[in-house]
Amino acid sequence: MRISTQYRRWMVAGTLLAGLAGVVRAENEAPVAAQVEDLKKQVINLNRDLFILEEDLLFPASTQLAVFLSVDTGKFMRLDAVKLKVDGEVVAAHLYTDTQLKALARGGMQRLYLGNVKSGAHEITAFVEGLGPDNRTYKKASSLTINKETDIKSLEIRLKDLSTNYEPEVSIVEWE
Amino acid sequence: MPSKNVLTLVLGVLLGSLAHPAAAVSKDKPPERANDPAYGAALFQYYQGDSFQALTELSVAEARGGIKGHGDHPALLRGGMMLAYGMTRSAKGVFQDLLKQDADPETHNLAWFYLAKVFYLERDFSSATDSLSRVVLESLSADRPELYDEALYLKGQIALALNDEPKFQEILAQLPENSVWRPYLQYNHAIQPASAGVLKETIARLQAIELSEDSPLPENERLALQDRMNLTLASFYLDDNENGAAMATFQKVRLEGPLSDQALFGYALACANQNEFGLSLQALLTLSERPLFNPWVQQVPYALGYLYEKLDSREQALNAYTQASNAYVTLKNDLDGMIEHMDEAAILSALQLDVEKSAAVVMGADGVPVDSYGRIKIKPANFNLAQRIASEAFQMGLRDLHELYRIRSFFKDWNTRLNAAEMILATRENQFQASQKEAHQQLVAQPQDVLSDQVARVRQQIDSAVAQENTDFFMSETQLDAQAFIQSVRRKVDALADPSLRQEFDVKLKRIEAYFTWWVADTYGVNRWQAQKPLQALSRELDAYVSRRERVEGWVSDAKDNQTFAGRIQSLRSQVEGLSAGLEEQIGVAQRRLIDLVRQDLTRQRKEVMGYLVATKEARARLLDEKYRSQSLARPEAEPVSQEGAVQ
Repeated sequence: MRISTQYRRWMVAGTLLAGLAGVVRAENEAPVAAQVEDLKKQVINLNRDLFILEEDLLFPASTQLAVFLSVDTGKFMRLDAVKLKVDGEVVAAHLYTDTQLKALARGGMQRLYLGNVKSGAHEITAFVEGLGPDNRTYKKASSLTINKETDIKSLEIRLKDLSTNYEPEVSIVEWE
Repeated sequence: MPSKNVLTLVLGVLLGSLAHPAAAVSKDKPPERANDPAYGAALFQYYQGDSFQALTELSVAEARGGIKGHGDHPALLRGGMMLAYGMTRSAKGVFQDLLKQDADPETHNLAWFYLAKVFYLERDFSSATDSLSRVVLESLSADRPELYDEALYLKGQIALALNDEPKFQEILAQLPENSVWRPYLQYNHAIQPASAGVLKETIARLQAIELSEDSPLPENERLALQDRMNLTLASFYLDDNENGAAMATFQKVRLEGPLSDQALFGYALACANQNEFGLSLQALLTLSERPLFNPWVQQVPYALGYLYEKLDSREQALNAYTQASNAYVTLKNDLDGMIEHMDEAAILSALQLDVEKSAAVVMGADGVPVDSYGRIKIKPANFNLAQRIASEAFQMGLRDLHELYRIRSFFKDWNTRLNAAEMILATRENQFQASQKEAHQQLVAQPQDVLSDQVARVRQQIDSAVAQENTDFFMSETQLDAQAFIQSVRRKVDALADPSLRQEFDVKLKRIEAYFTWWVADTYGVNRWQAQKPLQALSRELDAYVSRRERVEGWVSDAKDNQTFAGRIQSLRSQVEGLSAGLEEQIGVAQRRLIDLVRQDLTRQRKEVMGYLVATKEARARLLDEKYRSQSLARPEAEPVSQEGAVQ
């Protein structure tokens, strides 16, 4: 029975180790973790500077137009695709993944478009497609005429549920 | 069915629900509209699991004046993102800074809570306790009931770690019966006495845990936890020689679950101890069809021989030991080869992404699923690394290596983008230079200051003459000549010696002077307009000049902007190059760290296999010896049993 006892000891030791894993989970991290964290910090700052540089260079405030998209609850429509036109020309189109829809449903806003327009009046149109509760296909559109001035112009395509008619509604709103 | 490593499961279950500060902030709450697009954009990235881009979005927003309309919430969010991006120390700093600020009470409360979690994860129980003591539980309960439960769970875990049983019981009593944290806390409490060898108490505590089907835990999580509890309880029964109870409890573990291998082996062992060798053999034969790399299955070949021996099947036992011995030799050789040739590729080939459709792990790639601490969601593709994969050190090492590779790909991408930015600048500058040169030359030939002074001086004189109604000022050339002539005649008349003659000419001259005055007055309007007309033209020309000059100055300004842009690009490029140099070194360190961990694990496995090999050889030699003895007794003249097939 010596061998049998040996089995048991190995077996139980292994099980205990597994059982305790939830409690004793933090092992010592090597110093490399601190170096990696420091590197990450620098990389985030670099990415920020590059992002700002590109925006300043390619999309200066005097001509910049940014369009975001948000979804409020989305009970009456599961967003599938969106298309954006500026002065009649398609400038952005997007098909949504499940992960993106979840991120939108939790309050995220997608930067759908970043581009340049001249000062003056412009017509912005958003076309939204999706499925309703009974797999009913919805196609909604919304339009807005904006006046571009010297500051950055930010717009939001807002998809929300209207409890009055149980229909989804698309609107474009301007951010100050 | 390939079984997932148990440690991975338990860690995944525990940590998955434990540590997602930012997710917890918004989880179970209706979506809140972002009051600032920058905040919404950061959330969009974060909720897709891209903490790096989310942190960048927040950092950009901060550089541009901060996020409006969300109070201190972005700071809390940043702390959560940092945790998810594996920046624990930075996250701690964020929460600590937040606590130094004059934030609202709810934010302070949450910051204390998350800070406590960071300390807890660092196993700094003293600081964690201090932070938790500052959390106003009543407020947390009202504002964030799910976090209230978690706070109690943390307190309970700390009490356990500090062996403070009365405190633990006090906390457990506060934790709601239907809390998802309760069974985990009870389980960890239950297995604590086992570390001191107190099995009865452990068994009693495990038996007391109730995990009903009405539990608020998700179904998969509940079943996984139930399997874990049954397996643990059965193992303690086995160790306490309660083999019947062990058999019954092992049978409760789902066969299709990830713990089935362990349960099957434990069941075989319990059966053997109960002298139910047939049942034991059946379980072991099932296990023997599974990959030998699984640490639980490694024991099977030896155990099979042992069981045949118990069943008095000497020949079968001898065959089983021979096969076991060969299998262990093969396994040992395989392990030797792996230890010697272990590299990153070999490690990655032993892993799969733990997603719906299993996929290979591509380090540094976008979209690799990670948990709330940035650890890649993996499962073993084969079992030789299963236990090592489950360890925290391995998972952290893999996370760091993945992030380093990502950074390397960022650098590559950034160099491309910086090249593009430089090209745009160069094109823009060429365009400017052509038009700027020509316009600038025109301006140099016509200095603005001189023109401006002249115009101003003339305008002042005209304005003064108009104000004084100075008609003389606006006389025409003819009138000026006439005036000069009249004045010269006047001088001559005044000089006449004869008074009568002088009077006669004086009358005539006065008539002429009167006419002249009338003439000048009559033509004043026309003359004034004639004087102002060139001034207006001069003003228009001056205005055009100023406008042109401003345009050129604008170009000059753009050119200066270009220089600034060029400076910024150069600065970024230098920083990327500087960091790139250190990056390769860090990747090397992270790779070696992972490989060393795996080698250690394989060496441990090799040692175990060698133990089995030695035991198998001993058993086989014993049986052969017995066989030889029995044959010798029956046929004393017989030759010794052939050693053919013996393991080298």
